[in-house]
Amino acid sequence: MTALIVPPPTADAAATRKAQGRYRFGAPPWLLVLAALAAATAAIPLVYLVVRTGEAGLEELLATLGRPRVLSLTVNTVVLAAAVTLSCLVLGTICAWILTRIRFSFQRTLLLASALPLAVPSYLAAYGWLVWFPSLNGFWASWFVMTAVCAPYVTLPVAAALRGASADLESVARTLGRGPLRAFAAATWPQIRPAAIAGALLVCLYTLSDFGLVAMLRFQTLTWGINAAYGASFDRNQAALLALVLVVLALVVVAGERRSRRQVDRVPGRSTMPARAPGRAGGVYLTMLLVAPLGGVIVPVFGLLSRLLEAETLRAMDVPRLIGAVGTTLALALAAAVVAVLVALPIAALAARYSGRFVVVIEAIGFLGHALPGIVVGLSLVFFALAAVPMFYQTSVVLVFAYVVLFMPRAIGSMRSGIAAVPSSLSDVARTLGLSPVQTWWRVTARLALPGIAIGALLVAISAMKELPATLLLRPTGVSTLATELWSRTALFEFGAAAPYAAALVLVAMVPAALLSGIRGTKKEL
Amino acid sequence: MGWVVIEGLRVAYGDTRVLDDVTLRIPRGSLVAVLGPSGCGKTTLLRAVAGLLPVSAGTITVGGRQVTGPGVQRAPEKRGMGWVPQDASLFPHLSVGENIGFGLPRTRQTDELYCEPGEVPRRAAGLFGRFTWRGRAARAPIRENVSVHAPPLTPVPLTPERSPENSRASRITELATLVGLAELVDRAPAQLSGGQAQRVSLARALAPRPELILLDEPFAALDPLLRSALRTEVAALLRGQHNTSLLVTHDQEEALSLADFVAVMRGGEILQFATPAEIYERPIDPWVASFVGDTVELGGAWHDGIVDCDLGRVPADWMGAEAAPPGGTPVRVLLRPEWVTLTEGDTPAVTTAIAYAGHDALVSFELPTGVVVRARIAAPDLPRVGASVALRVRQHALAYPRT
Repeated sequence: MTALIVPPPTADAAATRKAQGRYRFGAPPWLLVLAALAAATAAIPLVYLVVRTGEAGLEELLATLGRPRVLSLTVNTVVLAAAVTLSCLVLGTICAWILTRIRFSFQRTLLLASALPLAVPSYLAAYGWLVWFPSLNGFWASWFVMTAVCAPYVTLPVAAALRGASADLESVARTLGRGPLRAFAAATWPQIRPAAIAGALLVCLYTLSDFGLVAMLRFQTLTWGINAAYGASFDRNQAALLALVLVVLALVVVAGERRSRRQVDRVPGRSTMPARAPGRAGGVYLTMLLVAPLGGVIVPVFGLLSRLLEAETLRAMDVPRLIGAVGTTLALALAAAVVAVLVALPIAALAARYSGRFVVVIEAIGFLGHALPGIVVGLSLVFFALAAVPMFYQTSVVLVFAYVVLFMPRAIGSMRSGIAAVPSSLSDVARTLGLSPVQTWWRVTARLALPGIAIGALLVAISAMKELPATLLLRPTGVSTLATELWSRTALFEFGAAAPYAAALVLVAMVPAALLSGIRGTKKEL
Repeated sequence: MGWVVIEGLRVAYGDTRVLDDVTLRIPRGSLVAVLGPSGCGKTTLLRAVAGLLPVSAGTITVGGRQVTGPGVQRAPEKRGMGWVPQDASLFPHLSVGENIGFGLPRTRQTDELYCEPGEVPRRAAGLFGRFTWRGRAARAPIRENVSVHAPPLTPVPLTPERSPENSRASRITELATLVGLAELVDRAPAQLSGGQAQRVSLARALAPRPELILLDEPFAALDPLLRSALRTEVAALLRGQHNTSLLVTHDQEEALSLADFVAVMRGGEILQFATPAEIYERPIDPWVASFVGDTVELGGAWHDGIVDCDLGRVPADWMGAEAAPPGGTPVRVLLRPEWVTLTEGDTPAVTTAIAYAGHDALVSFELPTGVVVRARIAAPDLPRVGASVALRVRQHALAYPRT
């Protein structure tokens, strides 16, 4: 019994560092039950979709799957996703390299510009391009705009990885006789590869799920097909089947992303590559950097402004309708944010403080919405509402629920890190000083995790404001948000009439974004 | 007779046993240090006593009141124990004063009136006191042992100058003054130095007058100079307050210099529980001996009170668990380097190396048999390297059975 029960000190030290802020004991049952319930709600759309497709019967399923229509939609989707992923990977890695290795005098502005496309919903970018070139359509147009919008998903993480990567290896490779490119490939690329692959798979996921952009640019992918099958013919079985195909594709991509994210092998060494002056190639570097912001933000926004400021647009503007749409958008986003935070809270609290297989499963289910395309959640909830809770069909309740399912992962992510940042020793101290667990939660943990919780709510609100496909499917008759108004005007080629809604969407989405940067700023100060 | 009695305590994380049958009796008013290498389970022991983690078996009794036992698992907030964690863990959103007062109950009706155990608040529970449970509890006659923090035995007079109208605010001031930070009560914890933060943490734990203070390596995160100053100060403060304290540390110097009793732990078990002097001079086995200080280890043969070893025939004490073995049995002989001195006669040796440390030095001597022993020699007496000297052992050597 005196045998060394405890592992040798080195392994033990590593283990404690890893487990910092976590309890090694099981979570209280009530928290587990609450979190499991919350996760179960997030699983409703997917589960119901599978059940619904299963009801159609295997034979019909296979027959539909073999139809040339379904096949062509699937091929279109996969080809577009692959093309956008590849171009984003290349463009994003090059941009990241330029951002970290070349010293421009306006470095911060360039970094900000590189992140800018993230703020613009894809369909808004498509709208902006259509204003300039109304005949734009098909694969190449979708590929280009999607690449511009999605490139930051690779640029930003790779730039961060490059900044953290040790330059020692590359220097060693250079001294051993490799040229700059081969040294980069041999020494630095392996260090940034996980970030690049994870970013690229994120791009792939967003391209698969995207509805607004491809629909506006009339390239027929699965999302477009789902909407068409649902809207035009009410061929619900085919819509459900297409949705299932899309979900399978998305889940494969998400699984790949998770795996690539895990294989981060740290190379010791702190020195970073010194940034050098742009020199003669400065123009080329700048052009590369500006492709994504130009294509994703600047051209579309100027297109939007040019239409907005036309006299005809201003005269024809339906102000009460615009204000109504703004109000609806804000109210729905607010409701989604509040509900999402409440539902995500038990999952975030559980994942931040406890470990174990069950906890991992609950958290993974909570993150399911991340993998589900908006149109799939919309469609599945139409079925679910009709079958299970008909009194809620065609009400905002189902729409808010869809937002919650879709965007809960964002809330879980930031709330989890907010709660995990509160040392568990503070709760221990509060307990020994006479506070009950609930009092401890209110007076210490929640108090200190508040910025994280607020950021989670804001992230949900921003995403909900910009959401299009699920809103189109689930909005009650007569209710329209800025996104749906923009969509329906653009679908009719009324670019001028769409302009005020597009502008309002940009402005309204900027408010929480500004708040967000405020919170992050204060957090940094503390 | 122990004030805090821990008996047969077992804690397991999954299949791994972290504490195995730990038994410890802590006399009232004493400072007990639990000393062990990292990962030996000492922090787990502290957390189990505080009620911060569930135990698989065993009992913990404080002042005759069982807080952990079969079917009993009193919540940490109902144990009346103070906790001083390693990193101070001050609440970053509260001022220093509010941190100290965190554990002092506020009564909503009277302006921050804090009552000492046994005192009845004069305007307790206000106008509607009769109808609220809080008010009724406050007005009810005081029963023995009803308050968590009230000592069930006769109360120790803690601060004689305490006025009957002792408010929460004055208790905060009192403690801030006690730890020497009276002028910093309005500061934010982020503005404190490491040592100041640790003092606030201690004041915060002391404020509700706990029956037991638990200190989890409170000085480990401080720099060495500050560490030794602060730990002397804290030990004096804890003694002055008549507190019973349990201190966890991996620093043998800290444990030996501060504690009234030291419990040496290894692999989830307590190997020895004794006074610091006994732990150092009469360690129960060679592992404890080398863990709490430098040792000189030699082979030898036991001859009834004398060991025959490289240093000659040295008087020794038998430290094995069983009775002393018959003459001629090979044993392990342990000495402390400072027990070896330079004299005339006795064992000749040659000085081979000197590790100079200012006040003294660890000097290596090669014996005629080729064995090297180290002795701690005070600086004025240092020989030169290569000098021939004679060695003597000043104290009874320790003889342990060969394993």
